[in-house]
Amino acid sequence: MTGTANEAARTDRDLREEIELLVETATGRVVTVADLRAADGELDRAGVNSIGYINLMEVLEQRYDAVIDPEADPEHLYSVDSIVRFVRARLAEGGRA
Amino acid sequence: MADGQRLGAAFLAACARHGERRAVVAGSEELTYTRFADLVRDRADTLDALLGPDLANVGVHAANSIDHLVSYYALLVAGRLPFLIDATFGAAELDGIRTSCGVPAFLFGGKEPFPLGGDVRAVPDSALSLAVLPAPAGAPEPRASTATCRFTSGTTGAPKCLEFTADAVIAAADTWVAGTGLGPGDRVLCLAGFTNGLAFNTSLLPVFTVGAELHLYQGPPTSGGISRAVSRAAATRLVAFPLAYRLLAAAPRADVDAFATVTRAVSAAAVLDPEVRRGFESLYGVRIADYYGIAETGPCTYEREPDRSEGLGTALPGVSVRSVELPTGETEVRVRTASMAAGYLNAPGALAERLDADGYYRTGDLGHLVDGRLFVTGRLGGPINLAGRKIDPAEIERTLLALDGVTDAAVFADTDANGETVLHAALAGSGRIGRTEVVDACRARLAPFKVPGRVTFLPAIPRSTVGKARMTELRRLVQDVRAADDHPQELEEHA
Repeated sequence: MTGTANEAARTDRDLREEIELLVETATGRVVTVADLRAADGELDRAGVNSIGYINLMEVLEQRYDAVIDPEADPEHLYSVDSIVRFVRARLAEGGRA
Repeated sequence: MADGQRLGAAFLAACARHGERRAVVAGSEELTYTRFADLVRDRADTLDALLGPDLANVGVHAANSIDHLVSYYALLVAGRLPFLIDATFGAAELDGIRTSCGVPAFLFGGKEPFPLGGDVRAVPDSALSLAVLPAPAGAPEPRASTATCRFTSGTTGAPKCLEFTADAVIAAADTWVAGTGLGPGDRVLCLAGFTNGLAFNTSLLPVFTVGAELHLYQGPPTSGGISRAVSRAAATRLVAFPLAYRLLAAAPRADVDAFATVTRAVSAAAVLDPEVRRGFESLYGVRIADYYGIAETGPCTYEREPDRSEGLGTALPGVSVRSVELPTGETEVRVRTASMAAGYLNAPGALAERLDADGYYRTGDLGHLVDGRLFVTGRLGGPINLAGRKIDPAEIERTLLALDGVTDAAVFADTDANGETVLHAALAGSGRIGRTEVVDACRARLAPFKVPGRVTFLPAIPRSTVGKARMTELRRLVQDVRAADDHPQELEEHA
């Protein structure tokens, strides 16, 4: 799927599953999708460490032009759901699909 | 004059020398040397009034900022003893520092409540706040010559506190300047926390001594963020850690032009993957110079030859490095520097025990020298190096053993699918507990970087007759378990 319009049509569930996989990849598969779900999608509770967070921010920036500053916007990286909301908002502003 | 004040005076003298040159930049905020010194003097007066005559030991628990720098030098000028504390430390580490080092006052980033509570006061003209807690009883007295305290890993929840004299801090700065050619025309972009030796020894006093510019990095260190910061600063030097170079080397839309002003990139804190080095250097045309330093000793080696891509460089001026063969046949790296810590405040005698008969510090790193060039090949054991932070597995194991149902625990360094070091906890016991509960329990008691990412449950931890974990067998067992089931299990399955 390419283009912002197509991306916007994607359901939150699709995007959520994509973010879960991105977290798993960002953590070098140390935190699995199952681990994330067991922690209700909360990244800290799932054991995402600082390197995992940095990798995740890198991929969010590359993939969606979504620059998250954890100092300014700590809530955006709190959970899979909050990342979905942030990415969704970024895409609505014209971010990359 | 107290030794700390002597260090503060050295800083103010540098400011006087460099006057209207730009000293430090963070985002849209910047200071000339003159303004920097004025703010430090004003802050020293403010802190004097807030701290009164009795509060001499002051922790600084905050992320990098100009405010942080001003406060650190102000504490020195005011004759207080600053304790530079990792901003990620939580309540357990902070309370350990408070009680074992006798630190009753903490300057902290004012957005969040201070983890230990206390009497919190605003610091005028600052985003930092001051928390004052009851003075701990029975804490050791710092040496009269101690000017700055920093921390390294501990085993009991209290990080070990390194005491540095003014001479040691100045020697580290002078060594770095002389050994790396840092000059007044340099603009240094630093990604490391001030509490880390990488930043403290390469990017604070050395920069100000020569009248260069220090640019503070703000935001997550993504490849795009770093490139934008390098471009804004027109940086001549980038001081970063291997992860940053990995991201830059792999960036799909690399802004190569942003690095046109960079003459050297400094890497330290962990081993740099040769592939990452090659990728970064070929993409950006900037050489990465390795730096080897130890929390206890300060800067040790630096790679000065542009064509060298192996090893960690040669000894910096005033530093002696040697490798010593151990009874096991392995060779350990030992160093002697003028920037060595005087001791651990909260572990008396422990640093002296790490020195050999000739006064060389036993680093615990395995390695050797070839024509004076240092090659580090592994660790003897002891603390795990996780992206530059030293972690003692024993501290985490103690936390794990306190969990209901856990009868044995072993924590060790593992590698994730991205090649990064990750903490792996192997647990044995009879209770019903899962990975989430283990992570939750560790998060409640330890700093985030000490929380194990991998958790594997075993019927028993293989140990030698003297109780030491048999690591080869342990690694094989956890590999077998994880190969059989990628999902977390519960101890009950093995009970």
